[in-house]
Amino acid sequence: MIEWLNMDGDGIYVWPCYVLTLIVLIANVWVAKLQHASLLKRAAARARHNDARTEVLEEISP
Amino acid sequence: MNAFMTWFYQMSSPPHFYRWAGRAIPWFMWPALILSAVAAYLGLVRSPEDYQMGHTVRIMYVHVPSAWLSMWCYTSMAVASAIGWIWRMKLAHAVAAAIAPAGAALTFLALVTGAIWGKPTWGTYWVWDARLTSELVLLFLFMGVVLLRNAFEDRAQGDRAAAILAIVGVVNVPIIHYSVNWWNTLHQSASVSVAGKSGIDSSMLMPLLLMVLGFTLYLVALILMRTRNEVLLRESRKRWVQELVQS
Amino acid sequence: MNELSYRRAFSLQLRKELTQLGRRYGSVLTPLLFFAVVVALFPLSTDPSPQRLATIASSAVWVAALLAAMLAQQTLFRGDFEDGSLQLMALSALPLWLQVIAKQMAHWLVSGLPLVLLSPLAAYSLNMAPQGYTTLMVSLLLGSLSLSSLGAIGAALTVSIRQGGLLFAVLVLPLMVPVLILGTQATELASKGDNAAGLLNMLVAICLLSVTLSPFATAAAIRVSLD
Repeated sequence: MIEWLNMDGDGIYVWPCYVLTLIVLIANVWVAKLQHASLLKRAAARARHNDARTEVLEEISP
Repeated sequence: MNAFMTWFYQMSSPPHFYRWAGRAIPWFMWPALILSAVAAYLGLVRSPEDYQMGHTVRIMYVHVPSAWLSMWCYTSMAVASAIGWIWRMKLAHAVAAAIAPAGAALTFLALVTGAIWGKPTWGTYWVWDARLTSELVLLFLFMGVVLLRNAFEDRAQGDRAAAILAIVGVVNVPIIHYSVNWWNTLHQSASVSVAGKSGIDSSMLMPLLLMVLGFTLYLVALILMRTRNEVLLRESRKRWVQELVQS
Repeated sequence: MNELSYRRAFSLQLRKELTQLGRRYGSVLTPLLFFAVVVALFPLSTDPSPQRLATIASSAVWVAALLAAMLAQQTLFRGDFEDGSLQLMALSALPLWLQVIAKQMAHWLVSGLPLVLLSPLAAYSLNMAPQGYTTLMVSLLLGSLSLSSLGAIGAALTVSIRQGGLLFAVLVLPLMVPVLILGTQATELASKGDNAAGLLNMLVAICLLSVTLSPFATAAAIRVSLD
């Protein structure tokens, strides 16, 4: 196992490449997910705001 | 063809696309995950080391897919931009906006893995090798598109400006690629020829192809996710978004 | 409008631009001065022995010329955008790309051509072999034309952006890589006494491609910036 990880000394080059690739690929998806959640939240806030405004408009209109 | 046009037409409607993409993403992401895992297993455990490069040849299985797909990203971004420009299709601009940062990330990945691969092969992390230099220029081009789109207050204006830049860039990319290659051969620097010119062994080809396929599926899923975000960003005032978040 | 009046309108536009540029001698002098200053920076930042300078001469002259040609393009549309005449250009009956060509040509005659003419002097100061001078001038002539076309696209894209200057450079410089590679290599070859005709042919191709296609991209970019 250790021997395989070491790869005759080349492991210090091979493993960082794979780990970095994994990090970048996961980070991309993660950021996209976070952005999606925050966009939905913002849209919900806007929708609530719009609802409140229409209610007020209905109340004050004769 | 007719069925395709109908599909294309339906897809250009943002709410339709948003719902379709939401359902489609897992169908790309899971196969991508499985394929890449299998490819990584084959590449790291089952494939032999190269008689010249030793174990470092295994870096190829992540470096080459990122490099190929970064080029693919630029081309498809330009195609999406052209569609958006010609048919004034908002969704195509959203796709182009979604691809640019993903492409930049892949280019960055190709650059860094290439540099790490360079240390054992050339004895230094950075050599002005043809592939690395092209990737560096490609990174600049991607960043330019992202920055230009961001510089405009008005989103539609930024989209159209970025579209022009992407189209001008894609005409240039092959010229840049060939001129850099030529410049490199002229100066005969330490260039590593990835096994591939003289028939690559199937035990190495298999993980490489699987990894390319896995990366491609992953990229499609990522672009769909990012496009959904771009659609929400552009359509936040529309009724369908309001209904979506209320239900 | 018929063809004849297109030609007439084009020459009128060109003349107008030239007189406007000619009124301020700074428009001719500034790029040249910039070019000279950048060339002078190279010997100052290295060991200025003649042998060493000869090895970097072609790249130093080319990089300086590239930066000068690019920076001269940066404000190509800025004044017209600010005083509203760009809007008038876009609304006029004359096609926008034709006016773009006139404007670009006037600018190149004033800022690009002097650079080409002055380049042997810079090359001499850096101890380049005299047999390379002709190739240097020809490659710079072709190169500066394509650089000015690429620069025009960038200038049109960034004209409405506040502080678009750095962005302009970042957008345009990577696109100039092929011209730089071919130009410096051709000069290098010729100064060593080799034949650089093949490279110059490729430069001609790139020059034709960029000069013919860029006015359309520039015109489209102007319309986007005016939105």
